[in-house]
Amino acid sequence: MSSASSASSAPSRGLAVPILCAVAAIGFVVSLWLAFVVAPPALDLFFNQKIFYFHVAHAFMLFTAVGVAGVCGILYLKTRKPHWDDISSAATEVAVAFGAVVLITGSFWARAAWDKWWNWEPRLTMSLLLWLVLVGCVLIRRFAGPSADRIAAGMALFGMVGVPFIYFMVGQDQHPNSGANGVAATLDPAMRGAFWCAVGTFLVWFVALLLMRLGDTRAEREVRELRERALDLGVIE
Amino acid sequence: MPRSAGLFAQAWRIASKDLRVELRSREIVYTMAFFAGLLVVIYSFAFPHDTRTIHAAVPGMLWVTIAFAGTIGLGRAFDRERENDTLRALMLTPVPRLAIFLGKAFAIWILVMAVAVVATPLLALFLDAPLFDYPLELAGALTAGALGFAIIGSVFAATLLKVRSRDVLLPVILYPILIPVFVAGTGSTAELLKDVPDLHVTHVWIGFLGIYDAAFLVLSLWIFESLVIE
Amino acid sequence: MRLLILPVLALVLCLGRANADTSIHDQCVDAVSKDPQLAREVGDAALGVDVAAKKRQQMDAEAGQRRADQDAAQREQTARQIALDDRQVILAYAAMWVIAALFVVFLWRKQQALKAEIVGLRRELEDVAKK
Repeated sequence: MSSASSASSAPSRGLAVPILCAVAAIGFVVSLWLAFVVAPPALDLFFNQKIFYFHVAHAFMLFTAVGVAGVCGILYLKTRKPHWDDISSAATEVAVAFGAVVLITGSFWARAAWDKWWNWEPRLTMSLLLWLVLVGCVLIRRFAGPSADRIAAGMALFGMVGVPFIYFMVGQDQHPNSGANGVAATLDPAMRGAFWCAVGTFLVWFVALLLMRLGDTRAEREVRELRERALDLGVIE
Repeated sequence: MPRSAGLFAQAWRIASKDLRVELRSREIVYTMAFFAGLLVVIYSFAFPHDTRTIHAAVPGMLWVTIAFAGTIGLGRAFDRERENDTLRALMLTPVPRLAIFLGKAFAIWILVMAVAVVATPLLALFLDAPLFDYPLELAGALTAGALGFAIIGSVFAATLLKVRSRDVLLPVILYPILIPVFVAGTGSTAELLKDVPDLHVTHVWIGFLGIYDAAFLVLSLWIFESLVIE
Repeated sequence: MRLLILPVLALVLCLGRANADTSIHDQCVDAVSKDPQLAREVGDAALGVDVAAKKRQQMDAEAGQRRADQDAAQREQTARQIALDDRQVILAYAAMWVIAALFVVFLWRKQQALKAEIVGLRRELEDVAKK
């Protein structure tokens, strides 16, 4: 079923990625303009506050990606349809990339706000722990052999269920957390436009990356099938 | 509820089988306990000998010991099933997979508790930590933490059974998922070691561990059969 | 300089009072009543307080205060520098772009390799089928 659907939607996917990339590029320019020209300067951090729009948008995408990976993990474990596994694995890798951006930009933010590169700020801690689960997932997929798909899906699922616990834990913990600036709810209304535009942009970018990664996964599967056929026919050793 | 009663009876039977095998050889208990003791000795050399530092570090040492020794015991307990392919035999018996999971997790829980029972007095003795001032709270935190470790550990040790590099991959999977357990465990124990402990904090952390265990127990029961297909 | 004069002045004052030299006495009284600081110092000198030590202490305190002010100013300046410094923003944006680019390049290269492999395998399979 999955191969049939992938075959039928192949031409539309060929167009989907460039279109999404173009939309993301336009959105990026618009949100740059909104963030640097339209949005007022922040009172406490001035220019450095411009990191916020893209840092938090990436963090949102990190959580979205973890959600996608976890939910597709459940669906794969319950239905055994390989395309759920493809999506889960693609989402995990994209989430690792987004998570790396979150952690690095967060580190610059910490430097600007608290004069320290890393200070165990709650939300940053949370992103780090989540990112560790995702990196673990990627390692499993790479090194766990034939049953890697099941194990990685289970790990993504357990990681997703662990998010609220990490959230609570980080809130309870006595880590030095100085100030809570940068929450969407307490955002100056004049900055909201830029912020949500950035979130939308990166959502489109996330979907584009996911589809690109999915294309790779499908190609991998095709290679595996062709290899098996070739092995059966004795073409390759 | 005859069916669920049957489930628990079967789980108990599997757990008691595991524990009886262990009691006959005592392989895992001895090696884990020795390893835990070694870790405590290494800590006492690795950390500066000043009372304040040591007391602040003891909760972390306790939970790191549990994590490391527990991982070794976990790997060995499942290796034992792999060596003669007995897990396949176990899977072929007319017993629900859930009973196998529950029985395994229970046996691992007991083993991890045994490590804690060895490591805690050793830490108290070698590092002169007042760990036993609040025995009830300490026991609660250790029990709940070990349960979380046993549940998640059994799920992933069972799925990794056929993987070649399982010894390396088990911690790679377990530790990121188990970080909340270790943070909550050290949080509760650290509070007990303070000069004037606020027991409310400890209770919050133990409650957190309880909820964590319950959530992952439900999740594991729900997903175990799909995860472990041989 | 004024510091050195003070004990002399006090001495003169005392002498002046003893000698009842009205002109110096009146001058000194005028000066003291005009300058409360001088009055305090003269009083201290008369009571035998170590004026120099007290002065030193005061200077130390002033220097400490100045240093603290300087520190605060320095820190504030650093904070302002960090706040206005655009390096963080530039680096953050650069990091974002670099990671995105690396990821896309990684995907693209993987895709090219896979495509090449698929083409190769297909051709080999077709060759076998023809035979």
